Amino acid sequence: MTLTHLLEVEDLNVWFSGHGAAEVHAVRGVSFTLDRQEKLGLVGESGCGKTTTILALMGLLPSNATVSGRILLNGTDLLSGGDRTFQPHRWTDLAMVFQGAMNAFNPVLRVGRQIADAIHIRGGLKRGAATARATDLLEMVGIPRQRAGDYPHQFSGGMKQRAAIALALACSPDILLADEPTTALDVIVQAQVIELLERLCDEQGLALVLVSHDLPLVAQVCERINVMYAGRVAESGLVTQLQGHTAHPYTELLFAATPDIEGGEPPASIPGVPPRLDQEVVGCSFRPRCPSAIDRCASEEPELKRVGSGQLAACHLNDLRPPAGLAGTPTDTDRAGGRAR
Amino acid sequence: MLSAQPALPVAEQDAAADLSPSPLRELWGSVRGSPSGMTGLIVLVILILLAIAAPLVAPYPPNTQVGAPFSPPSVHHLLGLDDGGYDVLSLLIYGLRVSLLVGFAATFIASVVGTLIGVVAGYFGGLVDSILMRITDYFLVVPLLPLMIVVADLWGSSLVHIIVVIGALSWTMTAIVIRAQARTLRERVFIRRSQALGASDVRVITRHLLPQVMPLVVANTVLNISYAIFTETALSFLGLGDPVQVSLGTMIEHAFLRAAISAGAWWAVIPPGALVAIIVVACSLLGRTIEDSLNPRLRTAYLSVRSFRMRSAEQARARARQARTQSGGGDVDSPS
Amino acid sequence: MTLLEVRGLHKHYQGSRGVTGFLTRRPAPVVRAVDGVSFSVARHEMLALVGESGCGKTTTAQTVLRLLSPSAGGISFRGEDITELGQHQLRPLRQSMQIVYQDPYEALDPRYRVGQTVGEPLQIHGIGASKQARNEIVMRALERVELSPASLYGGRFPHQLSGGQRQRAAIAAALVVSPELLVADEPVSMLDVSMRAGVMNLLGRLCHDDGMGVLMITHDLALAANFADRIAVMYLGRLVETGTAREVLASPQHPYTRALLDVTPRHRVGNKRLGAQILGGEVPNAAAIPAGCRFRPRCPIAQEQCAVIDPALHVVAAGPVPHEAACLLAPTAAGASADDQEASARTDSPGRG
Repeated sequence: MTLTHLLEVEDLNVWFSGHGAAEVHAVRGVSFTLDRQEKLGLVGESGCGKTTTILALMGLLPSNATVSGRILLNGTDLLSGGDRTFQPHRWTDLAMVFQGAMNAFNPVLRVGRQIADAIHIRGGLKRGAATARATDLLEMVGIPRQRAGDYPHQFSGGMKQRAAIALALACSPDILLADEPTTALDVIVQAQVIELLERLCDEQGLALVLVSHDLPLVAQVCERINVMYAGRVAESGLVTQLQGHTAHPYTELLFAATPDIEGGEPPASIPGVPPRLDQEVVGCSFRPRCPSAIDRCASEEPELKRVGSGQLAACHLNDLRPPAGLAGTPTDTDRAGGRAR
Repeated sequence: MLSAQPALPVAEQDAAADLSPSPLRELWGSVRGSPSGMTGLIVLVILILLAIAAPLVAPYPPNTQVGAPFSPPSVHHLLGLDDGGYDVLSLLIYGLRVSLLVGFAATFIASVVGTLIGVVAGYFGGLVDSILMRITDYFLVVPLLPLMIVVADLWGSSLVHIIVVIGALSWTMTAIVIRAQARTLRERVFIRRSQALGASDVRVITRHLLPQVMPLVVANTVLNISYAIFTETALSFLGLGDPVQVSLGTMIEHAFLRAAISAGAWWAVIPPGALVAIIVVACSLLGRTIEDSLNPRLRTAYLSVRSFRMRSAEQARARARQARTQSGGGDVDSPS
Repeated sequence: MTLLEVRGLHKHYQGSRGVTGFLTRRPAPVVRAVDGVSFSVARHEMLALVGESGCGKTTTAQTVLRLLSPSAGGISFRGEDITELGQHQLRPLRQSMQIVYQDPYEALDPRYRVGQTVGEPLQIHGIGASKQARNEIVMRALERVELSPASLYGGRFPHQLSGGQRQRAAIAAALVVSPELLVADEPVSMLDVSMRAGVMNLLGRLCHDDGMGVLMITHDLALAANFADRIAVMYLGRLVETGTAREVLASPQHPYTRALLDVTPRHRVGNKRLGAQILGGEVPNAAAIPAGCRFRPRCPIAQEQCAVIDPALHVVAAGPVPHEAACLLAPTAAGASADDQEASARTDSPGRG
């Protein structure tokens, strides 16, 4: 890997301090890379640290947060100077569509005006040019030009989400971070918004980090997925690899827990609950819920290791079995029999 | 590792978490954490204790002449004597008693009536709500001073009359505020659930709605107390107070009528006024703290661009090691 | 045996026309949240009412339980007509019809322990001779929802439980009065994926093994596919397709059902339905329902007649559970005459503006 990645996250840790209570270690040593025009999915359940991770990427953590690690954007470490180093890159290189973006608009200002403001302030265009660009952006996300003068309450949920995407694209960033962009929307509107995101990323050449708890949805959009659990990356790999041969029990159980419209095996729950993040964990944090845990899992925390070409997993079981598909792409037998264990 | 029957791991037995999350207990927690709130509370408690123990604390009996009128403060009389030769300090303590009594009694009436009407109007809505709110509107516009004058004229002015008049006019704000809260709470799922179960309205209101409304009632009561005491002071100053009882307001009234200021006797005017001001400020501090704790939206937003702190990798590792030894190896088996 | 029968249910809300509307004599807008819905739920059976937000499924559920009063139509429970009963007469029936809400984090009063909340229905309906007897019923209900050991969970507060556990507790609170019908309004949509199957399996057991009838409201077609026996798809206040889950999913006859299937992501990426396309537009306002077929403005196969005729549900494939669809372009079952079709088209649209 002699090329510099567009974004490189090294050993990211985030702690939150509460009043008097112990610190919550929300992100525990997360590392990953993102290349130009790559679509990466960050999947996990509530409390796994995925939202905190991308807020850290934007430098939008509150003052009770403590961060360590490196976030390299085209080689520059954004974390080296706190907010100072983030500010020049925020919105112009890295932009975010927040969870519940429909509520991110100021209800007393017109939508077009709010987008134009962002362009004017961050993009440096004059008012007139900014307004024109704002209208163009709205058209690009499928909102007719004449609606730019409407107030947020006149937009439907889907339209507000599109407007939020337009706002994120205002200064032509290279990376778009989308935090559960469709969770509050109906399924058909969800599909429309996701399709819009895909199309825009392809047209504008953007890299995308899509955070969601909806595994099949992410699998549809992204090429590569990081599965997170209890603040760590449990498994990382191409969608085809993960579907063919998972290398972490959590990923497998997560697939098994999601209902499939095509029938097949009925979905199964994962018993138990995620560990408390205000305590340090000895050994593997998934062990209490893992059906295949061994002795080593209780004492030693598994490291994220290569288990295939471009596939990483943090599980001791991979040391026992020779990882399949090490020579290259998974074979058909892998894909067929991979999920049964 | 796991049994065939998925026995769900139990939440860790956390002593603090095992307390019922009573809204009032949470309220107390936030007051305790606020310096201004605690200041207000402590001042009020001290004044209340002082008032209760008046016979023990006051150096001289109140309405007894102990020296020449308008004698300046001295060692024997820390705040001097007023126009009748009574000890100002003793008068102050006894006057505090009366003022607090009026304040608390009037507020009690206002809170009870206001909460009742507010909850009923907010919970039931519809016709009941309309009728109760029209009644509230009617009481809202009745002016205090003319009413008090009329009452004093017809039935004489006594403490009871003042209490009733203030109480009868100040329940309206409580009712309006509580009604708004009740309307919001009515939509909460666990209340709708109780209704869907077939619980009677009385049950839903007393067991589920009222406890959630209590913090707002407390905040309102505290602020009402300061209003009631101030109003009583004003009414007494205007001569509508009980001629027999001495309150802080009547003290100022006497001083004013007997030309204390031209006699240069500031000690007859300032202390009662100052004490009223202290009570009002203490109530406001406490009441405001309670109000703030009720409204989470008043707290600063989560997503603001403020500096987070940085920690180097070595510090992170050291911290992890420390936390591991502290929690005795971090019990992975008790997830929450 | 049919537990719940709903015939031609309507629930309309009167909007306000405001001062300007009053002055200009504009007619007050009517929101037709439920506009002619008929279905039934039997014992041992789970019916999934599937649709997006604004289609009227939650309103239907609440009206069926008589938490709201219907504007028109009939509801029968256990053969008894409950459409006109007053709240007082309904109270004893509430034991037999229970509801589980979507939000497990709000469903339990945070001030009371789980045991107390689960025991409250017993106090309300006067079940259980003594405190001990009531306690036993509570413990049994907690065990039934797998919150075991029951004594431990009974003493916990809601904030000490996970979302899935809270939802189980809410179900237990519904079970203590031995209901026959359970309405589950999006029972798992607010839970983490890893907990959903457990709760759904619990509902499935209560339904198929213990004989309850379950009406499940959901927007998740995949969930309905995996757990429900029958599916009814709802759009803008009407049912557009009904049938067994297997049949509706294997051969959807209404374009809206097909649209929902198209956008449901599959586990195997690339396994999209032939001719799959994302439906355009958004659900129109229930106060301004389009003339003719209400799906026409968004329908990819709409034709001229669809703007004129408002199709009713007609049988596409007969059987013990008939497969029905409300589309003029869907095939009719052999033996169903054209007259029958027209007749049903007329009766199902009372007072259509």
